[in-house]
Amino acid sequence: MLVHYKCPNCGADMKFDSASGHLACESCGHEEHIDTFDDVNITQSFEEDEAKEYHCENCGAVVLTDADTTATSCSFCGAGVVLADRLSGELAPAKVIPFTISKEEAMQAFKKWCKNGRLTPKGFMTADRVKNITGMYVPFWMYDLDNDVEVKATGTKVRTYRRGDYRYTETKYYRVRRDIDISYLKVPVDASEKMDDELMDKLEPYDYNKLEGFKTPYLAGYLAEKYNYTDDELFDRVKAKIRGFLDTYIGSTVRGYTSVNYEQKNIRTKKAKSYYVLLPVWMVYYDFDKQEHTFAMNGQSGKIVGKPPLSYSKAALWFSGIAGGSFVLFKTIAIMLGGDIL
Amino acid sequence: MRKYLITAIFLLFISLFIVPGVFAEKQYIYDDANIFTDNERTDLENRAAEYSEENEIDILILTKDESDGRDIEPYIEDFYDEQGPGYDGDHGDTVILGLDFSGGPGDRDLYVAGFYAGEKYVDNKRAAQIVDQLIPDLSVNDYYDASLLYFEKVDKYMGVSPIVNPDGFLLQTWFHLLVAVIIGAAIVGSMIFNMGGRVTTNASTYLDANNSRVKSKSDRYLRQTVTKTKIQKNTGGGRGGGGGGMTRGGHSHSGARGKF
Repeated sequence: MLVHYKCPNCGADMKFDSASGHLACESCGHEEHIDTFDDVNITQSFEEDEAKEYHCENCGAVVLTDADTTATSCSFCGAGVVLADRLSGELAPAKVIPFTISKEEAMQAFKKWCKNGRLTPKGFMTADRVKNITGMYVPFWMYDLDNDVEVKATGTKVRTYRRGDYRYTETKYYRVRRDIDISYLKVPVDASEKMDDELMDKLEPYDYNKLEGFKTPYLAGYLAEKYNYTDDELFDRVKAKIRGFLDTYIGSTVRGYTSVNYEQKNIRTKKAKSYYVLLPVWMVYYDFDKQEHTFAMNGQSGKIVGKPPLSYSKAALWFSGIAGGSFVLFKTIAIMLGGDIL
Repeated sequence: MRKYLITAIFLLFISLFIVPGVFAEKQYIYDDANIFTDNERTDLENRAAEYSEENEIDILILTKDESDGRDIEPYIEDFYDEQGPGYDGDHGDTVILGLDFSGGPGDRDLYVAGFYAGEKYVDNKRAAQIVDQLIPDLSVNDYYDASLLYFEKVDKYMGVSPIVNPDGFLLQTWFHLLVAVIIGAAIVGSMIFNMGGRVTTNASTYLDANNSRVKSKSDRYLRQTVTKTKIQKNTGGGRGGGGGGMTRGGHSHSGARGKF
C-alpha cells in the first residue's frame, strides 16, 4: 500500500513543512493541517505483490525501496510517498517528533559547523563537497524503566587529629544498606541496523514536548525506515545505557563517607512501557580526500555529530600555541615571584 | 659673588646627602674568631656591601670562639640589640650568619637569623635551607666559600616572594615546561575527542524524579581502627632546625641553626 498526498487546491504533490508543521504544496503554497487533511486527497494504491514492488501513485513508475524503507520519494517524479503497510500493525509507530529544521537550514547549519571546525583541514571547512543531505525518520524504541535497586556497601569515615607528638588516624566503618526505586522515562535506543549506535546516542537529547501522535503525513517528503530490532531485543542495550545513570543516583544516596566500597548492587530493571517512535535526523554525506564522511544532525535541536577529518598540522599548531602560551604565563608568574628567567 | 654663594650653598646642600655615605663606613664582617685572612676579610666586606646595597638589606657575618660563653643565637640577638644594624636605619632590615667555633669539628654551631624584611624573606624555612647548604663547605673548613654561598643565597632569596620556596620546583623551568605540555596535550586531546560531538545527556535527563526514591536506608556503625604515627620534628627538613625568637631588646627574628 502506497500513500501519496495531493494538493486539494491544484493537484500537485504535498510535503511536510518543518517550519509550519503542516502539509504544504510546493507549487501553489496551499497548506493543510495534518489532523484535518481530507481523506479524499490521499491516494492509496494496493499492490498485488506488495513485498516486491510499489508503483508511484503520481506517475506510475516503480518506486525503488529496500526492505526497511517506510517513506521515500519517487525517483522519477520526486513525489513524497509513504509505504503505509510498513507502518501498520506491529510496525505502527506510536509517536513521532516532526522535523523543525528544514533542508536549507540544515545545510546552512552544517556549513557553519564545518567553518568552526578548529582541527579540521582547510579544504573541509568550506563544506563545498557535500554529496548528499537526507532528512530521515530513524526508528527508535523508547523505554519507561522501573529499577529496584538493593545496595550493600561499607563506608568509612576518617578523622585525623594530633595529640602530643603523635598523629592519630581514626577510621570508622559503617555497614551501608539502601533500597531504592529509580524510574526513567522515555530512554531512547535506536532500532535501525544501518545507523551507528554511538552516533545516534550522541544526537540526544530530544525535546519530548514536541512528541506527537504518529500520522503518516509527517513522513511525506522524507525518508523513513522501520525498526530492525524489537524492543525486547534492545532491552539489554537500554540497560547498559542507564547503568551509568543508576550508579550516579546510587552514589547520590550514599553521602558523608570518606570512601565507599560497594559489595553488592542488585539491580532489577523492569520495562514499564516501550514505544516505537520515529525521530528526525538529517544525514549528511560528505566526500573529502577520497573518503566519505557521515554526519548526523538532530532534526529538532540542530546538534551535529560525526567524526570530521583531523588536520595534524592544525592540531600541532593548537598544541604549540596553548603549551607555549601557558609556558610564557607560568614563566611570567615565576619571574614576578622572583624566579630566574631560565 | 652672589653666583659663588649660590654654588657654595648648592654644593653644601648636595653634600648633606652624599657625605654620610662616604664617612659612615659600614662594617659587615665581625670576625671575632679570626677565621678569615686579611685579604678574605676585605674581599668579603666589599662583597657584603655590594649585596647589601643591591638587596636593600644588611647582610652580616659574625664569628665567635669559646672566649664568649654565650650560645650563638643569644649572641646574635645581643649583637643586634647593641649594634642595631639595618639597611633602613638603626635596628632595621638585617640578615645575620653566625658561626660559633666554641666546640670541636662537628660540634660547632651556625645560625642564620633574619630581622624585619630579613624575617619576611629569610623566614625559618629559608634560613634552614641556607644552613643546610652552608654545612658542606663549613665542614671542610672552607669558610670563605661558605660565606660567598651565603651571600648568593640571601641575594637570591631576597628577590623571591615569601609565598614560594625559592629552591622549590615551582620556579624551575622544567616544571613550567612540563605543566605547559600537559595542559596543551589535555586541551588539544579533549578537542580531538570532542570533535565528533559530545554526549550531552546526564543522569537526570530521563530520570522520573516523582517515582524515584530511597525506600529504606540504614547506616550501621561497625567498628573503628586507630593508627598513630610519630610527628617528625625539624619540620624545616634536613639538618637545619631551630626557629626564630625575640631579642631581649624586643626585636623579633626568624632563624635556623645547624652544626658543622
